[in-house]
Amino acid sequence: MRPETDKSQLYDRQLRLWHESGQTALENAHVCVFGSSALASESLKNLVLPGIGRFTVIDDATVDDQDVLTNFFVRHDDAGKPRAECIVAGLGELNPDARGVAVVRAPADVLGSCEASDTDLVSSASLVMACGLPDALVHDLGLRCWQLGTPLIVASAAGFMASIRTTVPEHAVVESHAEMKQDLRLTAPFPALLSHVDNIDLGTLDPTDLGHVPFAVIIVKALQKWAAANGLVLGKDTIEIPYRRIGEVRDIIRAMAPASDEENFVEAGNNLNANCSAYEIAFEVSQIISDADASETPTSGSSSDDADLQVSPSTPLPCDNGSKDKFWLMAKALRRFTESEYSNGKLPLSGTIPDMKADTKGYIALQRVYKQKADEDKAEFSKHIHDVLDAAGLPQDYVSQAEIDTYCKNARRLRLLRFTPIHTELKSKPSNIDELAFSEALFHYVMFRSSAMFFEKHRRYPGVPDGDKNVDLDDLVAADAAELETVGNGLLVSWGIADQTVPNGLAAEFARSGHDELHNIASLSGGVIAQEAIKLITHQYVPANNMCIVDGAASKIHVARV
Amino acid sequence: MPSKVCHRGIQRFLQLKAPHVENFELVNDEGKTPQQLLNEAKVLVIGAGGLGCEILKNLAMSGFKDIHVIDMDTIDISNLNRQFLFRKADVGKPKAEVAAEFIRRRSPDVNITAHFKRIQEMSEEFYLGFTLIVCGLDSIEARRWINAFVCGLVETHGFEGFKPIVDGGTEGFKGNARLILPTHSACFECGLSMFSPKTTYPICTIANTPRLPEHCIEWASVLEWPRVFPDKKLDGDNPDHINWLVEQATQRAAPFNITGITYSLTQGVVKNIIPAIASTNAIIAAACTNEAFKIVTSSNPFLDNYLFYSGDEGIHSYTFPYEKDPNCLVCGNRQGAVTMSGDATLEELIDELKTNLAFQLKAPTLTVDSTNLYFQNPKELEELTRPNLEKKLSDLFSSESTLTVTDTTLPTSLQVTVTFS
Repeated sequence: MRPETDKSQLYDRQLRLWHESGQTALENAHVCVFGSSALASESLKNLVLPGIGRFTVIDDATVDDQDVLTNFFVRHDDAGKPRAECIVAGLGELNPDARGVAVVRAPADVLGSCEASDTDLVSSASLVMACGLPDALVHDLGLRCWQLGTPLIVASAAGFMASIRTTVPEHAVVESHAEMKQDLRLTAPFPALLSHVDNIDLGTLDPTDLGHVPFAVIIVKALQKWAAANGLVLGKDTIEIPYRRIGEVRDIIRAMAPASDEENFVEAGNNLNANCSAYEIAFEVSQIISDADASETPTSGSSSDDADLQVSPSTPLPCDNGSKDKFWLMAKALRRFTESEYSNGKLPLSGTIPDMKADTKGYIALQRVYKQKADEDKAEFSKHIHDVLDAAGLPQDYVSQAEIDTYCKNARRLRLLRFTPIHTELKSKPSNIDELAFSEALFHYVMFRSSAMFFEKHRRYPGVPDGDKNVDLDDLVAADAAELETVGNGLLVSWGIADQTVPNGLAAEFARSGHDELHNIASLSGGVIAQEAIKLITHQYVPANNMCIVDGAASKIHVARV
Repeated sequence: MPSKVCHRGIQRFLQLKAPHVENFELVNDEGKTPQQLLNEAKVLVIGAGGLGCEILKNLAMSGFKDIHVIDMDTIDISNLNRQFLFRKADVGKPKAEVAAEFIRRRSPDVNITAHFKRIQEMSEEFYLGFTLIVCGLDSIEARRWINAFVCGLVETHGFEGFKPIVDGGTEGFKGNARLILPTHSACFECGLSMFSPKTTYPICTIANTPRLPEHCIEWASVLEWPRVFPDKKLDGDNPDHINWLVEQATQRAAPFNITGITYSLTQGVVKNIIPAIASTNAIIAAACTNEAFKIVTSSNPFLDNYLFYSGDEGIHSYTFPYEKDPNCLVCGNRQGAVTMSGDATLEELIDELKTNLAFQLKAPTLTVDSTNLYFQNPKELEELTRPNLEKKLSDLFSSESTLTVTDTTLPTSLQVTVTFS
């Protein structure tokens, strides 16, 4: 019974979030990072601590006196040494299980190389991060990662501001941990639930036993009465109680209660709103089921006209990797399952029920009814997945029983995210310009793009003195801010957002920073980056799609799709 | 005064015009520059855990030179997945001291002082010495206490007692950072009802109708442990204790066909463990330190007054002014009110004060006028007043009486008016 290893104690507080499966994914992951500034080391800190398997830091920068003041993982006596090596050593102390490697070469050099040992750095990575890279390199790296289907997080920081952009063609999540209402199916009870309820005769129970009937049973009884009064049959007809008529069911429940304050009847009343609508498959899941990849006729093209799921035609989906393949094989099986006569348009039942005021016997019996139905659904689903595997010429054990269990249990929480590529965005304009135009993050995004353009033109960032010229810094900042604002407004016009201009002071705030990283903002961004990386690596929880802006000046964090 | 200069990026924000600050001045009313204010600021960090380690690093790397840290805890193995100033060899040592020593080695120009103490042990003079306080605590009780204490300082010392509190909290992928300007903006107590107390299970369920593995674990820890080991305190960090509970709970569950009792779940229930990860701590701690930096240097406007972050499903973050509660028990009119039947017992009133979200007291002591209704301690007074617990409220005082209530969660007493329904 004693925890078998130190690991279960060491990682106890995170295992409660992503369990063994997520931890294994982290421990098998390789994160490849371009850049070694505070932004890179603060992000990596939050991945090394929870036990990432391997990380590689690529940078040729050497440690200067400014790094010592802003990058916690370099030391005073590191001045002059390769910064990538210093942070790998500093981070390594945090967790001996995370193996770090420094590649002391310019990111441009590594990205431009065709040597297998260099291209492997990116192609072997589970996730790539780019911290403070110039646009030209972000473009090349973005294209490469998009083609590989590898998630890429691009981050840059300027003073109080930071931008974090995620891109990957497709990201599928089974264990999304999404908060959903309970899956009790009280308006559409399966036969075993209905007969379980019918075997309980409330009329014969004494008041004590009546006070021990679980609320799900009470609601089904009430719905039966309501249906009968409306010429319908629960379990046969579609029952959907409009919000304004829920009171009628509430009255039925009240009339059944032995006393007005009997706890289980009160609980039934409280759970009524969540259990009165007709069975429905969540939008996100029905999209996955109907998606071309899951369809029996993949040549029919995208069946979705929803902008959320559109991928630019210029960017074909890359080859699926192993885990994604399984996701789609199971999605195909899920489609067959929901289309079968057996399921009558429903997903496999998850089989877990919430606690209910009840005696042990009554609750456990009800729990069994749900569990048994879930097991039957799983067996039925397994038949479909085996057919799908057969058709694909894959062995039956290609998908494990544990994977089937997890998929069925989470069927109603499945999530699929499609991101937009960054390489096309840098060459032209954001893919989701209409949406972005209404976002609070628009102007921050414009300022980051403008700063990069300013850098391409002047080979220095706004607010940074050129060489040893003895200029007044306030004057330089004011002049650069004016130019930055002009560039930004020009971008807005070119994107067709001519009715908006960069707000007063924002360009000045960017120019004031001199594009220097502040430790606090690097650390905050490193937290955001690591959360997103963990979600992408573990395929648990739901990553943000696709940009996060940290505004430390206004104490705000914005999310938008570009 | 430490001579070391700040990072170039920080210096820019101390010296250049701030576009978002009204009436930006390079020298304040007292003739001090932002750099001087930063050098002279004396900051107290409460808690050297997940948030505390990050906050200490961030303050040191942001140019703060005089930092104190207080924590009564020692290092546990389960801290190491996020509390990055500690190593395996440090397990068992005081958090405050190990964290301070690490920062001292990394940034020798920072003056850092550790206090391996409870916050309640420190004097009023101690707290009066700080410019501001940054809290990285997971205990609601400690946060309530320090909030009430610091709000009280304004009352007794006026402007000299005005200490802004930056407070952070996390749970899993979620967290919040808030700025409390005592008596000016909403205090911690104003938002108390947002925190629901630890899930508790009714004794009758635990004893008679268990349904969940948690019910069986509570049976083992709340009923069986004290019965079998009347003189031994249950220690959630002692594997032998937890293993004993796992065995008992498993035996309890078997005849009821309840499954799912594990070591991890048992420890989680007993210790009320909240999931905690490095990345969320990094986000919230940096958001807190960013506010501390802005308050001291006026380099940008500060948070008004609450920042929420959630990374569970995408990223959701909101910044909004949390409203001050005019009836707040600490910074408002302090008029607590309870409506109960006059036939209810004093014990039921005490239970109400413990479970009501507006109070959430631990072990209240009650007096009315100069009559002692119930005293939690000393032992003699507890025994003397215990018979009152069974009595009807209407036999002890009249409707609309104002009771004086003291509790360990608050440094001062509360006035609670009880009206009979």
